[in-house]
Amino acid sequence: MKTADFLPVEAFEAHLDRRRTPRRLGILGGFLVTCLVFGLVVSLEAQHQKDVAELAEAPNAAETQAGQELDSLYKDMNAYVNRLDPLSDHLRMPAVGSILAELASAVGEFVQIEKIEWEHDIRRKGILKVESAEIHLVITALVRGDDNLIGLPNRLREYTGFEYAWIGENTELVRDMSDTVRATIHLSSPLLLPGFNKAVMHKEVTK
Amino acid sequence: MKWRFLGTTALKLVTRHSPIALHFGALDTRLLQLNGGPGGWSVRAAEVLEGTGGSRHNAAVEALGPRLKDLKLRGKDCLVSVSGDEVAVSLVPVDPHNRNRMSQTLKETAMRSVQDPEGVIYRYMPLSSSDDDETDATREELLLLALGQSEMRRCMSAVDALRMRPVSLEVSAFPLARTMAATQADMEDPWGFLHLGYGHSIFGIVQKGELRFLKPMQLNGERLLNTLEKALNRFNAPDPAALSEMLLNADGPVEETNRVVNRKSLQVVNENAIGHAAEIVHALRMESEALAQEVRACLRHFANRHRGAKLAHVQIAGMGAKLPEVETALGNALGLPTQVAEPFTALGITAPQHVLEEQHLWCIPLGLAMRGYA
Repeated sequence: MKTADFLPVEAFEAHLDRRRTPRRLGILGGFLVTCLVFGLVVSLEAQHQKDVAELAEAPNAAETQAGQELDSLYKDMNAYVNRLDPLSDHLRMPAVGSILAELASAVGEFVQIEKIEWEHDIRRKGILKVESAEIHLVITALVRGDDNLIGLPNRLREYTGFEYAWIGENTELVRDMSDTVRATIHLSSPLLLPGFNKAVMHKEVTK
Repeated sequence: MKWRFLGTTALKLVTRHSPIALHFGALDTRLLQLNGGPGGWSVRAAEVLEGTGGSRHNAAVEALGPRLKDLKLRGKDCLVSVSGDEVAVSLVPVDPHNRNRMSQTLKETAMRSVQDPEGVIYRYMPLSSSDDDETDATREELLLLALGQSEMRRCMSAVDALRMRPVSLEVSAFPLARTMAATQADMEDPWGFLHLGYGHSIFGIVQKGELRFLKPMQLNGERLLNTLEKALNRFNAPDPAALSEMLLNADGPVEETNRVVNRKSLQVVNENAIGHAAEIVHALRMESEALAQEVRACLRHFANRHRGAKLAHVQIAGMGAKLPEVETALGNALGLPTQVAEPFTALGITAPQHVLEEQHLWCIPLGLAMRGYA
């Protein structure tokens, strides 16, 4: 409400200003306390980080000894580097060990496996570039019955997951075993080499 | 405007005590300080110091000075108000073609209205806001208040003697209107207030929280008291003790200053009035009608300037408000809801019993204490 004051307006405004002073002091005090707390927190965090860094930089006897042993191991291995590199390459290649474990039961009744061979067939273009790569699995087995022999490639293809399976040409009858032949089953599949995104078979196969 | 509002809001958040309010009334000086804030006030100190006339300031200092420490007042800032007896209130219409002479007109009017060898100080304010569409924009109306320098000097000297810091000096009508406005903050319609002081009375109209009209009235508490006493003398057997106290030298200006009118004498009047309500209302009829005519003239003036606006009600305060049957007589004469102001009850302010019993006399100190909040 407007009023008519016989004292100068400044007197009452100064009074209002004085009444605000406790609030101002409160705000200033609160700000100072906040600054102090913030500074204290920063100081504690800096000290903590310093302790962590010093601990990380401190010499560790076990770590030092392990490092020395690893260095000596590398030195010893360097002497066999020429022989270890091909081995390393071979070990990096895919293997069929998991297939062999259950292969005898997968071929079914009246099939006796005599020999298993597997190999990688990699065709290169130039020195480094790989054009195509296949994995071949060749199984020689005694098979009784014609139907059994004809169905064997499909059974093996389904079990192994290889793309192609066929009966080799050198099938022969077995003496003293009626209705039994020795057959060679060829299985073939594209090989995804380490470091490649896509497996590619040889051109004559894809055609 | 926005910053002012924010400042006021900020004050509401922090202040735990009001400034000291000191009202130099016609019959006594009242000191008030509140604790808390607008959300919950309580009375910290409330003192009534007897004293009349030009020496009432010294009497207040002498009575209050030795007990000042016992009151445990907080702060030194003191808001002062003076009784309407000491201030000349005038409504000055200013025509557009006389606007360039306005300052001179106001000064001359102020000088004529108060006789003081030490000089006159005056303030003026427009009674209608510039954005008020309802008012007559072609003829501005100014409220002119003039105060003698000697009265102002006495007030300031008394405050200094009490080791307080004067920060405001208002005429009593403003803190009174402020108090009553605080009790009806949501009121949209205009409402009136009537201060029936011992030596003067004043009628004001408030609309939307702002004072829109103010004018001194002829009828005052002294005339009401005289009328009551005469009426009571006819009803009751003469009581020499009471009469000697209340009616001593009822005529003549010199004797009037010696007349003892205090809480005790008013209590006697109230006791004597018990059982004579109808007769008292009848006795007050002439005074009430005279006052009602004055008020109606004010209302016509206000309605002319505010397109027929009507008052919602009238609140009365001051020494005459609680005289027997005055509220009823004035209500009948005005034809408006009339009630005695009870601001402490309305605002929920915790107060001592003696303050609650005389709420109509504490309106002015309360309005002073609440300045800056309400």
